Amino acid sequence: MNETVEARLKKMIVERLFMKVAPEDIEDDKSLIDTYGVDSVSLLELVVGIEEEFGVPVEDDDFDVQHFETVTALAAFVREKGGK
Amino acid sequence: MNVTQHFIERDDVRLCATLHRPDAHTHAGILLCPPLFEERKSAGRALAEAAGTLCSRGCTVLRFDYSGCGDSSGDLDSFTIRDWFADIACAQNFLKEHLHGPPSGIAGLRLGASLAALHLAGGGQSAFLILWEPVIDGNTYIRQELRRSLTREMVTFGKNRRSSADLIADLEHGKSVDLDGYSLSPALYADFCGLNLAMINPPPVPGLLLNISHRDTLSPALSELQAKWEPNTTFQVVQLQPFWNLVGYIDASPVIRRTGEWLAARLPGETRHDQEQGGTQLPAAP
Repeated sequence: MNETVEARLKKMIVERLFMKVAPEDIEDDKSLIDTYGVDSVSLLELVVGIEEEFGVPVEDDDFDVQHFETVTALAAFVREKGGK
Repeated sequence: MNVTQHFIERDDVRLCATLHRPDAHTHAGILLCPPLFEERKSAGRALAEAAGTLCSRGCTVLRFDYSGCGDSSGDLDSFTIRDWFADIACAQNFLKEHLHGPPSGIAGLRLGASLAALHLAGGGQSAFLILWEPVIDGNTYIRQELRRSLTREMVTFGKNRRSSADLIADLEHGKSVDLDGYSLSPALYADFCGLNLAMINPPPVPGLLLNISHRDTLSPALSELQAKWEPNTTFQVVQLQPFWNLVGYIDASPVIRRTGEWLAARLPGETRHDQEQGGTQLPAAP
């Protein structure tokens, strides 16, 4: 079965940010910044990760914190941009 | 180990430098070229640890700041990459004055690695070259630095106030832009845009290139470089968080250990750990 965008995002977040948490333990609607300690440096790593792993170009106008608040928001952003 | 602070004079600039000398015999000299901007600050501790560890293995190591950076004199926006090549040559001469014979090489991190490789490509001298996650394409690098600035704004204000296109337009119209407190001049921006390691000839000396990231394989850009630069340059992957990007402490010892092992196979008087892997000894300095 194909992985959901959310599951792929969680895996990417854990791998790229070297987080000491299992991907499945990241909650979809918990704040990545407040709950998981994602900061501005990590957010840029996620931007690059989304571009590389989902083939989605992140434009300057997309730098809006609401796209990066939670896994749910990120997944909606990836789908909206037509991510693979 | 003996650690001393120095100011190296170059024209009207004073380069701040730290020299690490082993108590006993020196097998080699290593000039450490740091990265730039916030990466320099974040990598400071790791570079100091690298200097200490390599010194404990018998290397004399010189750390320094480029003109207009760190504790060296001048303002960042007064200098270009050409000035930093001159800084590297000057720091190398200073290091050689303290060596008396053993080979002297350069190690660099991120943009420092790129400057080291370009310095050699431009006729600079070095017995070996150690590149830790070099910047391959300066254009991509500077756009990423601008995006880093946008990301900070996004976290602070919810949304960025200016786009990277606005910042680039300013630079292209002759205005310096602020990169998180670092003034980026149009001249330096133009230098970065022209920087591309894929366009230079393979370094003519033995080299080690470490790709440091979350991946367990070489990045696509480095795979392309590997095809051109091997066998003189050895490419290796180190799975480690990019310590030059983080404010908190990241143990960079895997990078330092790999570097020490590579050097040990090539330096006279060192334990030849990986002799069977084809390490060739480096010649003494002329």
